[in-house]
Amino acid sequence: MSPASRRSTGRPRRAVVLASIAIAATTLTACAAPKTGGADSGPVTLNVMINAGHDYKAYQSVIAAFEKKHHVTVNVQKYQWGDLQTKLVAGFRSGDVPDLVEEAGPGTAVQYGVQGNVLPLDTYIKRDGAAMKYPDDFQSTAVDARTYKGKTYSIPLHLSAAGILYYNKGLLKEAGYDKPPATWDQLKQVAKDTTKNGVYGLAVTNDPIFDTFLLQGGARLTDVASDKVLTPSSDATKSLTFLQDLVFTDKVAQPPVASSDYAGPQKLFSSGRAAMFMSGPWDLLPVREGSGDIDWGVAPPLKGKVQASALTGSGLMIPKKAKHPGLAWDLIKDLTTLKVELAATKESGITMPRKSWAASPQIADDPTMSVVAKTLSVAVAPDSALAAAGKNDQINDLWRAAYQKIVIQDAPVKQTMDQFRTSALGIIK
Amino acid sequence: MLAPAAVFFLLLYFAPIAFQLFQSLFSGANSDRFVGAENFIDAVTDPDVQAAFITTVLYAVGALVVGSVLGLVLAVVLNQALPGKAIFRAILLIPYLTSVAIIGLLWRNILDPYVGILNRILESVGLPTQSWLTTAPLAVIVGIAVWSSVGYTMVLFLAGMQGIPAEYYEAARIDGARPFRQFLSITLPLLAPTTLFVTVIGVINALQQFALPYIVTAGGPGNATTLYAYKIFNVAFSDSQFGYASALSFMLLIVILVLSLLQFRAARRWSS
Amino acid sequence: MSVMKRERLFPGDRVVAYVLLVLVSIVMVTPLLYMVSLALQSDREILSAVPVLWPTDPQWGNFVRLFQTAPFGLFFLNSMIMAGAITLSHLVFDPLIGYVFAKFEFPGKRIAFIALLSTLMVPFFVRMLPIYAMFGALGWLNTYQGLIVPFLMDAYGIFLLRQFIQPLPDELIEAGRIDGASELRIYFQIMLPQMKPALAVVALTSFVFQFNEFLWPLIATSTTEMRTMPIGLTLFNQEFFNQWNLTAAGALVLFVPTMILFFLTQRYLVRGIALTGLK
Repeated sequence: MSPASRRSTGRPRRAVVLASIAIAATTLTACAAPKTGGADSGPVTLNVMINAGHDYKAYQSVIAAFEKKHHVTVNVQKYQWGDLQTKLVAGFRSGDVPDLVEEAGPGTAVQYGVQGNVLPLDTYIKRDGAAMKYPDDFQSTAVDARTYKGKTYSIPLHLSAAGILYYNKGLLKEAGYDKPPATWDQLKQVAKDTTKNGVYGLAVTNDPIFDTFLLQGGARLTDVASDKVLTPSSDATKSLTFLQDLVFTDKVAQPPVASSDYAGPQKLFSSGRAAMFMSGPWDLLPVREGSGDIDWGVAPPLKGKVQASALTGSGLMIPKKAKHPGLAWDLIKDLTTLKVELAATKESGITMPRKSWAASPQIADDPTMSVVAKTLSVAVAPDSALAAAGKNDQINDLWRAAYQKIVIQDAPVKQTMDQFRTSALGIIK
Repeated sequence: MLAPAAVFFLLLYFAPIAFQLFQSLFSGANSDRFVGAENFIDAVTDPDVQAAFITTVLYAVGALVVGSVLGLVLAVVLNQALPGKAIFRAILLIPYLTSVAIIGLLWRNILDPYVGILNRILESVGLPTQSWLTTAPLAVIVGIAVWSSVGYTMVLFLAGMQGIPAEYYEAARIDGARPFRQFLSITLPLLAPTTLFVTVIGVINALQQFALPYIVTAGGPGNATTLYAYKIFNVAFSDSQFGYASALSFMLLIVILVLSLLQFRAARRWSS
Repeated sequence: MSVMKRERLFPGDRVVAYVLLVLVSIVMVTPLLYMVSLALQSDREILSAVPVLWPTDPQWGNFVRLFQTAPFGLFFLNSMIMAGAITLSHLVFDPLIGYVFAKFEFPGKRIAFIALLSTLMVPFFVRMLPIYAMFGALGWLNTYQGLIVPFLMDAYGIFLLRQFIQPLPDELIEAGRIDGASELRIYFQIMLPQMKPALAVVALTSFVFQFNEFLWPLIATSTTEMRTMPIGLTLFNQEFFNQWNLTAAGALVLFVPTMILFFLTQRYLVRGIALTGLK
């Protein structure tokens, strides 16, 4: 290859490039049609971010009425949880935040609140709490999980819990069971007797957020206040060993598949390939729609050492740099009334935090819903102190990896637990 | 003449990157606590980071070797006067045209051991089912990456081959060289700039792979598919530890830079 | 034309070539055919826990539903504008800069080239946040220029073109200079036509990449009107309840422009270098 010739930069070339840039720039500015909502002068736009699956008609009509009453435009943007988190966190860093955001579950708002990115709502609650019947009409677990050191960082929107036992009546009956299991021992027995012909007794989740075995064993993931992880240790070991045995020793549960998709157990159940699975009320609709003519039922959470379920459910929070926090609060009030809760439940089966919701005839008289209510009543919230320390997501990511090692990769329980403990404590301290 | 380009790159690449790197000296969700080199020390000693790096290297070697070799072979085959080659070229490039998000979701659905279509088909013809997502998750990620990019690698090699004058082959044939010899002494050497491009870009891309583990396996099971860039993303957006994430990015930059320089030096040595 | 003439590598080599091509093609295409199947399935079939290979009653109406559930026409347009503008910008700037790096010397060239390459070595989300803040201050968020400007120039295309231009014979340039042509004319009339295969690759690469880009449009837009297609497609995943058929239909629609661009650029990938200029 011949060497390149020596040449300094020529003026004509520079002219061409500058001309191209000028043209490009002009074209771009001509294209510029700023569509930013929320300008300070002119009509007010309230920016809201919610999960793509929560755009219920019940909420849509509330928002439409809100727009009329306050003469504002409400810009509702829908995202998957992961994308919502990415966008929100990026927004915290750059100051471009919405006015109202749905948070993915207990602890999230506390984490962001303690960081200073989300507004404490106490002044608003002082003013409007009585009229809203907050916190009195709300299940205390949902309320407590969103407060820390006397500050409230979000209002619960949905209340849910993982721990409902879905079971295939036909398969159980075939194995000689008229009633679903209520304790761990019974679960193991039923699972053993229903595992045959390519059918698993139990379908297990891939994400420990929905795991109830740890809680039912009487253990907690973290207790930051006492610097403890996976405590009490013997209970935690018992829970995880029980679970691992179901998969690898007794072979009555399938090794789940690692992914960001939680629908695995429900799909197995609905295709008749698993006799039981544990989940929350969010799976009522998919099971109803996707199970063909399977005769199925729901039962309250199992009792290991205790009867417990894992608290989940989203809430509404206001970023600190929101442009219209007062308006956002007004919208929160409108979205969390009993009437709206009942309407949303009717439409989608989603479950709600108000005590009056659980007591209303629509819920109390429904056999499935009363099982759900029982599940909600034994829900255990994650450690608030962990969220306040801002380590929620980190510990959960670590925990998910450890859980998957145990439940998917058959790693030794004690060793994995100890590794997790060491890493987790290192992060917490 | 390069001035406008320099301005652009300065403003939209170097300045932001430098700012982010500056952040690596801080800690906390709002990056307000000065910690000096602590983030870097943590990064090097963190066993999860080390594991992620090793996983990424394994991934990169797999994806690069398989992808490049297969791409080259396909390019050679399709450089012949084969009837229907335009159709094959189009077919091989189709996966590349699809967004990685869709590809990830699609393959995850196909390969699910319990509710995926592949096992359903295998079952119905009596073949044993697979659970690669559980038993060989990193290989699955490599496979999907190669599947989606090999058509493109092939196109790059094809474009490079178009630049080789036919006269060279004529001269070689007159001299009595067989096709394989022609490949070795004409095609490969004259493809060197393209090959360099493929490997440099291949290393750069492979070490930054993030979307596939994010979409297909969420880094699991355990840490089996937690690639380095995926780890950085989580550290930033999930743990809100931007200082630490910046330190991790800086270290990745150094590694990639060194590898790229080594490749350039090797290429210079080869060509002389 | 530098297509290799028909000479046998070993007996039956053409058959082997075809078998290889067919096998690889099957592996390439089958998952995408499955995507077509998904796009045509009914809601019931999608929700069914037993995966369906091919719908019993193809729901072509899904494509219509796609455009009815949300303003997908608008999302599509936004994607086209963003990807189109960026691709054009790359085609203007990248060959120019690549040419300079390939055929000219200047002080600091090596450092500049390494600095250029190093911009590729940092994941986008690392430089994303300062740019996000910058654009917020400029009022460019949720605008077209906000979507386009971060990608106006790109080291990838520059690098690719530099590699491609380097082996082109210097005699072409010399001949032009001897004839008295200005550098500009040499660039436009002699060099640029030689670069067609590489330009085609850059056009295709840039467009495909930008058209399918997800992260920056997610961060930089905040109203429905400015959404791009890939983000629009995430609207179909309800919390635990994926409307796969509509997502797949959307993915297929996304496919069309990139396929068209591919067919347009195919010709240039095939055409060889015109060496007649030297004779």
